[in-house]
Amino acid sequence: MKEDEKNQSYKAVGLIMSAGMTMAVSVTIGYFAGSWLDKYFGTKPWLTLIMFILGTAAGLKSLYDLAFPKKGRD
Amino acid sequence: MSATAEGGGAAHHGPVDPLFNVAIPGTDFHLPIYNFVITSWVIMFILVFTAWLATKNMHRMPKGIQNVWEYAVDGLFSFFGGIMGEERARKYGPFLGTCFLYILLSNYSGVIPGAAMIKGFVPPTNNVSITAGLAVLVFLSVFYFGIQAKGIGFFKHFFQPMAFLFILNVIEELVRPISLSLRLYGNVYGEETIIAQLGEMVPFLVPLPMMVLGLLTGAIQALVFTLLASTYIAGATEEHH
Repeated sequence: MKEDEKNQSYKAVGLIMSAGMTMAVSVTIGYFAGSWLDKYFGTKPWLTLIMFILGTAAGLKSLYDLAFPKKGRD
Repeated sequence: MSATAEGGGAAHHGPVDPLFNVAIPGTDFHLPIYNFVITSWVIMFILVFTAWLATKNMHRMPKGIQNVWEYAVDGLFSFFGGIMGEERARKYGPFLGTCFLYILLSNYSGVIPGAAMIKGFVPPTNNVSITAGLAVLVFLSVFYFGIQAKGIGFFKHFFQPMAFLFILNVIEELVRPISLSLRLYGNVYGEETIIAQLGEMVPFLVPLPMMVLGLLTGAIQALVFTLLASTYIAGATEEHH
């Protein structure tokens, strides 16, 4: 039981420490993918904007997935 | 102590000269071998050799190196068991545990005096190509284990919980290896650079607290990497009832 609690707190620490980077990378990837697509199709600034928003949304979703894994949701 | 600014910087940043090249027979291509690759080989050798030593003559009452390895393997399996359940921890634990031990030893190799000063001795996780390689391995293994466990049904999760979230799920999947590799590389590189800069200014005792902190962050980063890898694999192999 005690071992289990220790593992759970390690898990919590790990998940919290990973959250910042996950969010930051999602937003950045969205932005850069959007600006690359804009250059490719010549649609500046629309795809940058859309991909930026999608990246942010994906970041939030992955934080949600980390906090509430599928096991807990079923 | 652990890395001079020049030694540390030149070893993992910008254009670096490979230590030597290995010619691939039958082609003109020469495979460059860098500093961190040598350290990586040494770490792999240490892991394989000690594992071989620990298992070659096992006793019911473990002692010596067998005891150390049993403690490590038991601890790792119970940790993964808490995330993905006992049965899957047995199945995927060897891969995840190897990742953990390799990253842990890589991170700790930077604290050994002489790291980044001796030729061929640079912490591998201090280089983004190694961490990216590890992250790609995790990325591919998620697909491999997922397809192995669920067949083509694995791809259904891209359309869950709702079909219109497909694009978000794809971005999420692609972001994973990038964030995994950058997180590990950034933390190790940052910590090594601070130690190197402090060592430049005051070589004696002052970098010590940072090195102690480095021991902590080294373990935490190895834990975070494998924890995330195990949650990804757990998510991919989850059976829905």
